[in-house]
Amino acid sequence: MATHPQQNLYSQLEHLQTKYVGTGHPDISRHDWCTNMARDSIATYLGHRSLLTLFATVEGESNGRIRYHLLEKLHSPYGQSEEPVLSKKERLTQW
Amino acid sequence: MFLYNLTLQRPSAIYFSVHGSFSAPRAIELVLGRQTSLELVRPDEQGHLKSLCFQEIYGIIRSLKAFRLTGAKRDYLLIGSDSGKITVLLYNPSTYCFERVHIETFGKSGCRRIVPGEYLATDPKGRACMIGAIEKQKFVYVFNRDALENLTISSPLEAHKSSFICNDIIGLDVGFENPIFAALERAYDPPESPKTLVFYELDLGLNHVVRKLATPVEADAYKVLPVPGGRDGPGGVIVCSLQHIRYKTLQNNLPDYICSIPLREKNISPTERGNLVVAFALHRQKGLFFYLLCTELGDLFKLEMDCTTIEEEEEGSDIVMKEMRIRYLDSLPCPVNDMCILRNGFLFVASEYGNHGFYQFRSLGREQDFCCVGVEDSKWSNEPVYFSLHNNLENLLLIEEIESLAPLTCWQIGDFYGEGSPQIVVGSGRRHRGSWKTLRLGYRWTEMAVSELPGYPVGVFTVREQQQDSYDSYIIVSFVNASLVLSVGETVEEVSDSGFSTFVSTIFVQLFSNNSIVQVHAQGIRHIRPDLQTVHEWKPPKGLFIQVADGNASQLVIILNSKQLLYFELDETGMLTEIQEVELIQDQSYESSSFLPCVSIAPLVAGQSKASFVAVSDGISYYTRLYSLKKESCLKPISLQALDTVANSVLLIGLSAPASSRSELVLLIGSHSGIYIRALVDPITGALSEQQSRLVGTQPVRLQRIEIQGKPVALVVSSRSYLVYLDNHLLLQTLPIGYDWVFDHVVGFCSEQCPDGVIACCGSSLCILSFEEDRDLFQTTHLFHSDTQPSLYTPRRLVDREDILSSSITNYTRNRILTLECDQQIVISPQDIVSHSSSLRQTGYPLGPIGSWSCAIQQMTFMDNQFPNHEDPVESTSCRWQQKCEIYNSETKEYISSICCIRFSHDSSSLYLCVGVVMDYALQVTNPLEKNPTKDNIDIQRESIVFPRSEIRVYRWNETQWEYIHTTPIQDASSHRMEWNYDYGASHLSFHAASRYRNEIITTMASFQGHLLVAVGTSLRMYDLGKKQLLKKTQHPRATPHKITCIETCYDRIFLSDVQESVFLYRYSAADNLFLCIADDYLPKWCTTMCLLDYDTVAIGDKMGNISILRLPPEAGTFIEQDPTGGLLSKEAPHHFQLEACYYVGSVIQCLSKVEWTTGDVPLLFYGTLDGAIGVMIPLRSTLDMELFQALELQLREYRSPLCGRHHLAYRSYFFPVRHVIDGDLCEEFYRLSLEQQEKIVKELDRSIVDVHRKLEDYRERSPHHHPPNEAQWRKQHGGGDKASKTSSLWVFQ
Repeated sequence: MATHPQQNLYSQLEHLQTKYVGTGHPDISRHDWCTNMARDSIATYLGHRSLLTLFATVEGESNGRIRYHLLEKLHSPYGQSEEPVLSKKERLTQW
Repeated sequence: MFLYNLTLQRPSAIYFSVHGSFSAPRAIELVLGRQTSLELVRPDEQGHLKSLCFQEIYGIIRSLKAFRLTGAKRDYLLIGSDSGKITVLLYNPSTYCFERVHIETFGKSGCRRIVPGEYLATDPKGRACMIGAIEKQKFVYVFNRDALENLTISSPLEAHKSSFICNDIIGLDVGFENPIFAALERAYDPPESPKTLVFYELDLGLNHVVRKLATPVEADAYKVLPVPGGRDGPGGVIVCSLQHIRYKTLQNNLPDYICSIPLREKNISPTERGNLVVAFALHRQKGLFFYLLCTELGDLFKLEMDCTTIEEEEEGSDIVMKEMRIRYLDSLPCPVNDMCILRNGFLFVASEYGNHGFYQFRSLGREQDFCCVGVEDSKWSNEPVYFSLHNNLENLLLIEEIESLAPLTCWQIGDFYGEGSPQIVVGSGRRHRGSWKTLRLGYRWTEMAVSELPGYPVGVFTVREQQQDSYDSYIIVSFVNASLVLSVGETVEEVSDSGFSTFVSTIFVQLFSNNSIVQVHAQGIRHIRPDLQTVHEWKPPKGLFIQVADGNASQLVIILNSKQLLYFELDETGMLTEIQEVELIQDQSYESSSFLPCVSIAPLVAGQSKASFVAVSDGISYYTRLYSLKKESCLKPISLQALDTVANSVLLIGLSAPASSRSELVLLIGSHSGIYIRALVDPITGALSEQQSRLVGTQPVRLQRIEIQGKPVALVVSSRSYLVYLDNHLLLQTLPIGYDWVFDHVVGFCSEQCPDGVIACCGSSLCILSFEEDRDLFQTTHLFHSDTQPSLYTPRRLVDREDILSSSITNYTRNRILTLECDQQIVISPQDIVSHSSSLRQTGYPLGPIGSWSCAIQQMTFMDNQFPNHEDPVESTSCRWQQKCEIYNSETKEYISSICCIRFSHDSSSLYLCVGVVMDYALQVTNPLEKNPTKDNIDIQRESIVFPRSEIRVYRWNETQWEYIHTTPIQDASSHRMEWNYDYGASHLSFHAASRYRNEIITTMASFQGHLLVAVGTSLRMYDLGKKQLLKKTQHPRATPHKITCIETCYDRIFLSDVQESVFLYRYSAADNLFLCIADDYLPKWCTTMCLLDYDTVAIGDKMGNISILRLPPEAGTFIEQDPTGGLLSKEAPHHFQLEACYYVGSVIQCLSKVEWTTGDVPLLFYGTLDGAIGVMIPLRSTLDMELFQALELQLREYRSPLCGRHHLAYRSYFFPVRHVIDGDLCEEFYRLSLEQQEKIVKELDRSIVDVHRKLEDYRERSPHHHPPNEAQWRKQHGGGDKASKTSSLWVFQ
């Protein structure tokens, strides 16, 4: 029995979601999206050693300490709350 | 606009170091990994590090490991990079390059979260490696050998675990059992999941990886160290966490051991912060192993483990750990990025800031040194342990320092010392290792000795006694009617029994291959036999005398005053016999000339008994001729080179590079007008090719062959001196010498104390100069030498005080510069620093709480460049600037964010200094709200936060010091609003400040039409000087969306760079007193620095490492001029910048400057990166050049494809597509190709090899590589007006 093309598409998408961590989907929550973005950014900072040095120079810490903090931060860069920390309205008022 | 990028100074930050034997079995070598390049170095017997190879990999190195197959003698190098590939390299000693052995693709390119490359671990027996990503993915590759003993690599074995963060990976030492890798992991879910240590076992038989065991460890664990196992040690791992280290054994029945990491006594930061181990080095030899641990403050601990062997009945013996100790060794000046212990007892330290160190062990920890013993898991208490610091190194000995510019924070380029060519003053380093360095182009000499002579010498010569001698034996100084013979030994003293005639003026001295010496003087040739007693004299015909002579080990050429050239050879009996003579001037009616002829004979090539060519210039005609010395065509002219004037000196020299067998015979001609010409000589036919001429000075050019590091180098002496040599990349280089002294005569000199030296005469004094040893001449990209002046704190800003005045002040010397230095978490006054400078520079400043600041503004005055006094040797390290005036900030809660020198339109006669001060400002990695930032506790914490306030302090210069005038508080019109910055990067990526409260902080200031522009967070304000405070004239509340980082002004235009959103162009409309936005950029860029190129164009550098050039479209310019509304109606920016050029450099861009390095030449765009690299962008001359280079790049991407498998084009387009920039570093790799490959490429390009070489050299020389003297400078020195016109005409020639 042939599967429904729509169903096939979904399963493919699902497969991609699990394969490529951080790929978004239409129903992604704000918190998830932010977390993914922050994790990707942190990965970049850790990979480019000169960016790590920049942070260390700015803050007066050692590269190792910054690296440690970033890796710790990777776990939950936006906290655990599923709710957004600041509401959209709050963000808009800042502009 | 097309640009050509060249790196002038390589990055000096080293992030990785691995040791091993790469070039040969048992060789002790180090591979230094920089962000984008690899270098192989080897320490020599004295402990000096010599570079063997340097390779740009055109990719980002993220991890580096060496491994060796069981039983093999050499190490392979393993690289985890951003290419999504794992690379195995092997060093090829014959090509001086690392070559790819295997390259295996496993993922996408880029530094991504789940693409492996960040962690690399190898099995100690070289059987497998694991490459891991920060999250989820891990691959294991199995290494093996095929029948031909070649390395084979398996297909990857997956060991993924999704939703797991990986903190570290190591390869356990398990002897020859199945390889085990240990990873420190933490799951995303559930949120409170602990960190676990996971063991992955590679089953070699079944060829798969199993996640064998996961044991929970401390929540703050961050690093794992492997412990030697098998027959060498107990095996297992050491897990580092903030407070302590834990030894975990693999044997189930044994307990863990815990040892506290000692803290500094003086350290006042909270103890829960702990002491982070940033790097470790493991030393193992038979029966002994220990670790060195370096903490974040630079303290070096030795971790010792005592083991005993327990005999077990079934399984044989087992090694068990008995006791472990942490012993304090010494304190390094700064934390390290990586370190390694070499087999011969040296320690290499790649410093985070300041110079890298190469140390030797004096002892491995003494009894009296602090020691902390580890205890069993259950007995450990949380009490912090303190140790007392060593103020000096006690167990280590510093052998050598490798100079580092990293982190380079700021610079100014200009001729501050009035030397005729610009210097770069850079701020580099951090904290107690911060310094201001003056970089000068060229090679530096040091004066070894100076002595006065009884008269004015007319020549100086050095000669060895025996061919096999390695050092010179005699120095002969020739006067008008006598010669002085000095013998070189322990001391240099006059001798009379040398066999040389001292009653004649010596013209030439040469040692022959049979160890006889010839001394040529005007009246004849004295041929002194090896016994020094028998002397044969040859005399010229009556009425004639010898004018010049030259020779090599078997040949001699003299020219008589009748313009006859006589050629002598050393025959089999060891006698000098005349072979041939030739009339240089065919028709006899030549006019007598005041210029001497000059002659140079080609040097002997190894294996040849005679050289084939002699170059002669007769001193009358403008030609230099090359004559053959071959038997069949003796003294027949072969080729001809014309000059614009009479030659002063000719030199035939065989140049070769240390790292290459290729040798080039080069003809150099120096003219009386200060021009030198260089041409390649075909070694067979003698045809000249690739002629290049250039102006090197304003005095007749003299050429001399000298030796540096055993390689021939031509010294070109005029009013400036240059070295011409072939570098390791086979590039013919011309490097100026940083020694401002016009030599009359100069000759190469080699003695025990001074292996690479010269003897120079200047007036009546003789001086011995030596090359600086710590720099390798033959490495292309180290063109600068530096003078260092230590700073108090981390250098942050340099403000050229005179740049505003430059129009009114003609005398550019005695320039002043203002420096800003500041540091967070430091509370130490400048007075304390000065009084305890030596111990503080070793151990660092005591730390204060977060939010405390130490800042200093100093004014430096550059002293006049004085010519060295003969009696008083110049200190090579003396930095000729003086501190004159300082503003120290004693208030530790205040942070000086920016300074600006300005002349207000009200009072343009006096100079004002505006200082932007921020109070109650804390800058920290950990956000105070970081732990659980839920909606509830934000409000609570909001109350407790003290918001930072800013103010501007104004000082006036009263000709002796800065006088305080008044202070203006900065008030934000809007109420205090906390800016909750979600993106971690946004709070970080600004250089001055990671701003959580951005509306209150002064970021930068600039002078604009006699007013002060102040950037306060996102707003731009304009102030004028008032009696009691600054008066706010106008403001734009949100000039840029996030934060202004730089302001550049040009007439009525203001360019603002945003921390995140690229550049905004504003126009100040005086009629409306408003800032009007004209243009913005399409693409986001995290700007760090900006440099105005012209009225419409701006170059920006960003944190990601891109340099972009943005230009306002021409129609926009005219539209703005004609817009009747003046742009008032448009809300958004009506125009957009066009991207003219874009290029990825590979490291954070810190400085950009447009500099006219040579007066009257095209301005060049200089950039400096945080890693300490200095590069230049040269505008391409024509589209033809651009097409040639683009085609060359295309070919080279194929022939010299990047080592780690990153595509070159993709690398240079890392964040934005590369546009209109040619990668000169890649183009210069053309020289490294074999001749066949070069031929293939030029066939594609439809050019000749010579064409391509010439083009490359042309652009290399357009970089600040060679600098003709400044005309004004020349006039100042010589006070002559008539000769100056001559120099200007030479420009036309050039």
